[in-house]
Amino acid sequence: MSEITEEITDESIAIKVQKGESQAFGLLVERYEPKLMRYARRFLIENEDAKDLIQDIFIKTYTNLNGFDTKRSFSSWIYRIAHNEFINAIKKKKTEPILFFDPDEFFPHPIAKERPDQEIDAKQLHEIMEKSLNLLDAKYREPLVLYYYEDLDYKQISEVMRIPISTVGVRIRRAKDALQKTYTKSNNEPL
Amino acid sequence: MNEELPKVTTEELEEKSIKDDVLKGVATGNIRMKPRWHFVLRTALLASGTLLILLTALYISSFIFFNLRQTGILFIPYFGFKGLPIIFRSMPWVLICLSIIFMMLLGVLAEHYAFVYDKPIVYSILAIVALVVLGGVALGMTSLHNWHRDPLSYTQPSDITIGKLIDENRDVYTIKDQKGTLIKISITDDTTFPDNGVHIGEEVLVIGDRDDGQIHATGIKRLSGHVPPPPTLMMQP
Repeated sequence: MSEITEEITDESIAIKVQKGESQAFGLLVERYEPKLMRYARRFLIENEDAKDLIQDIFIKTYTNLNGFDTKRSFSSWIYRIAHNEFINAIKKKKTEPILFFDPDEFFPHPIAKERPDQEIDAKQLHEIMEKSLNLLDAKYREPLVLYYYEDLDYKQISEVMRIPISTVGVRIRRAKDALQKTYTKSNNEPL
Repeated sequence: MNEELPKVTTEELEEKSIKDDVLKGVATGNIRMKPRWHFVLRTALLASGTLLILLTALYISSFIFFNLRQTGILFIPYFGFKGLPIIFRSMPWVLICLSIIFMMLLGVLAEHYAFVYDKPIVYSILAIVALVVLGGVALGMTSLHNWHRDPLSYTQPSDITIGKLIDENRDVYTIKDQKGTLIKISITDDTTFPDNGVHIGEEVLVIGDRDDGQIHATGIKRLSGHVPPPPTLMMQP
């Protein structure tokens, strides 16, 4: 474990663990625990079990590590495990509906381009997201969290959520629009 | 002597706890990595399952096409609206439903592959339907179902008859069907004919209700063996 440095990629660490250096797994836990905790806290409405869920995610990650293709991104792979765990938690708690079929995934959509006012949007968006993220449906909240907080791109989000890339764009755009409306509404309300 | 302890944040404590718990579980053997063969087997099962479902769907689809051709249903659109009720009555619906079920299964299994799930579902559906239908048509034209060509081995729709024209009078034709039975065909003014008529020796398809072993022909279509007749024989009854 001593030769493992911060520069070593997640995939290289995964290879070491696969080869039997199980202590190296600790480094992956160190790297991903804050990220997954942030993902859980923003995605799950009731997140009092977040720590248990994160622990389960790491246990599943270790258990299934031999199934990880080290030529692919470890990040997308572990976020996929986390996504499944969180969706199961939402279903179990029945806090909000998870659709089996979503028409958004059915038809092609042009990938939404950022508008010229995106700088203002980004600033406002983070402010609004902090306040109003929980008002969004899970299907819109999740891609927004993965895109803006976890810095995953559309392709990675598509791999994590197993939805078409164009649907990722549509959901992020709709989520932003919904938040924008909330923001405008709250700012126009008389005190 | 008061030794000052390093400050530890709650987050650091939590981090330590999860990491330590997981590594402890690994060290004690409570958390074990599944062997590589488990995943290889799962991948192989998924791939072979998908392939098997695809081949079954293709086989059923090719059999549907073969059946449509063999029973003559494929040629019914030639008769236009007259043929529509016959098509609905005679289509092999059970096989078609079975084929749809297998295509849906194929879709579900294919969704495990990134090249499928990262595209809109409508593309996957179109690709699967095109693959199964076109593949089925292509396979149906091969000798794959030749063992099934015996007319006794499939059910011929009652209002479609295929046979060789062996006699033609003014309003009664006679054909010999695929089982060797001689059948009288009654012709009326409403009976639809091909442009050049039909001629003795040709294989024809007749649509119409059967009554006492005689068919009241709504339409007749030549299937093969047409040789342009001399002008005098082109008169229709």
